[in-house]
Amino acid sequence: MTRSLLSLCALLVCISTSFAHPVSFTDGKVLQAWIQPKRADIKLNYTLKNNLAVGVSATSIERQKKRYNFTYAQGNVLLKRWNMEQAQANLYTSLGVGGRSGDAGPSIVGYAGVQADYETRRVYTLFAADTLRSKELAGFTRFKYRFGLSPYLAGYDSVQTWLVTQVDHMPTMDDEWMITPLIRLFYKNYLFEAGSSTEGQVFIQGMIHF
Amino acid sequence: MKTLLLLIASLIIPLGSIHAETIDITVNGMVCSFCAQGIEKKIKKIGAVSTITVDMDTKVVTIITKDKQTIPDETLRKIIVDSGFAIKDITHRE
Repeated sequence: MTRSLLSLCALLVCISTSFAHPVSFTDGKVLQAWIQPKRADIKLNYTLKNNLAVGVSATSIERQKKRYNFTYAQGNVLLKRWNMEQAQANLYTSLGVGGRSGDAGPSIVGYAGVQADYETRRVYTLFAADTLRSKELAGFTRFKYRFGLSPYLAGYDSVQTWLVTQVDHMPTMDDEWMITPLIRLFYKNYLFEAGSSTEGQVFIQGMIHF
Repeated sequence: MKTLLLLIASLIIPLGSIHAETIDITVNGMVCSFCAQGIEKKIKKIGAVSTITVDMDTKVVTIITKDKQTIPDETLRKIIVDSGFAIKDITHRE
């Protein structure tokens, strides 16, 4: 019974919504940055067509008191989108290649990721997984689950508020699991998120598309 | 007879052309105002557009054109699809 309940909860969380669409609108540019105590990412991408975006990313990760920096070019593909009357769901994949610097020295790095999301105006859910791989180093793999609820329905020109719980599972990191309640706000083409994990670790994300 | 036709034409033609057109586009998948900004951005680039409003409740994008101008459905369809959404319906009214 408990296992079934946990499986159901996990499924509901996995069906959660998107926090950032890796592909936006044709000719759209997205600048995105997020910061956690042991990982920071910044991404800039350009959407060539409604199912393909290209961009550059920089990621800095701290593990066992060592710092690793990755810079890579990235392609994001929208594999499938479901546009429904009251909902949207998406399936994405990403691939990238670049270089590593930092405490482990220089090396070529590969990046791969998948993301599935579903959202209505009230409920937002997302599942994402990505990995950074380079020579002579255990990969940095991250599984991200999100589930969010909007306490009210906002108009097009109003501030939209979401209350979101994010669960990160990073098998090769010092903190394997991290649960972060956060608030997510967006207004026009600006998005801001801030939260603190149950261990007191701060999470901040900002995004703009133009 | 010719005078009568000219008189009728002079009365009808201005009535049909001086007014702006209102176009309502019902959009499927438009559940996030942050994601729907692309629609507004692209539609504003069309020279014939006077104003645009987006209603998240009804999922309707309403465009009012400049006087004597219209926008073909195909142009609107491409913009909505390029923005990542799907069109359910387009209606034109004066």
